Amino acid sequence: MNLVLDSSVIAKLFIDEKGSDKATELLEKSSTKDIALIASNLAFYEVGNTILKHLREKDKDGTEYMNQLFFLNIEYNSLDKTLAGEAIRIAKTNDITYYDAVHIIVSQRHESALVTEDKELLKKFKNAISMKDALERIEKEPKPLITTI
Amino acid sequence: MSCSTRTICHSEIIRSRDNSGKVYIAASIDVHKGVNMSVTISVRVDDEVKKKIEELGYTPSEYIKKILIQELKKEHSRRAVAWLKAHRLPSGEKSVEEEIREDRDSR
Repeated sequence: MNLVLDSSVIAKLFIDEKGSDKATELLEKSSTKDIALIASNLAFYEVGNTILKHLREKDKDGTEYMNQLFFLNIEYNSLDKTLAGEAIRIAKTNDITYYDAVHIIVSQRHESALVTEDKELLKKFKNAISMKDALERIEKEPKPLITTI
Repeated sequence: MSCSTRTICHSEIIRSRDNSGKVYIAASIDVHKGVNMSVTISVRVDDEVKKKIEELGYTPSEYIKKILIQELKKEHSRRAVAWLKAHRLPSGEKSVEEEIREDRDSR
């Protein structure tokens, strides 16, 4: 099983707020069940901007936080010509921003659910699911037959 | 000795035993220096382990390479998640999903 993560989920790993523990649990449990986590590389910009807003004096320049974003077991996808075209079509048809459409199109490309905490995306797209629903799906997944040596 | 892509510049042998003393693993690592530096790692395992890998349809070398890369990614991720759990930034007045929504709508 694959799950595509919206920036609203990845950002929760960095900020201490409602849902942060669920986001952490999602990363941890996906790893034990061998579930591939995917995100658009737009997440680097959106999560980076969120981190920037919350940095304090003692967090220095924030590079350590950005480093962790690269270490997470998430496969970041970039857009190609086909996806970019599909994204703008979806944005226009559904009256959403191009940024929203990019996350949707990545989930469609991978035939996967988009895990998001964004109310608008959850309301408009059938394949958009909350972290709570994603955790339930992960629970139902069997443990991998082949365990690593 | 000067090193080209195909030259073995450095060799080392690693030997270890697990707690039970049953499994003996020896790895010899040859480092090839060049534009894309790579190393050759040979691993000594029980014959039974090799057979099990082959039964799955892999050659031992491709299987070990796949597992090494996967496990490294997982370990980095585990450490990153643990680090973030201990160093979470304080929340603001708005949730991150509200902040990101504002960013998307205003760009």
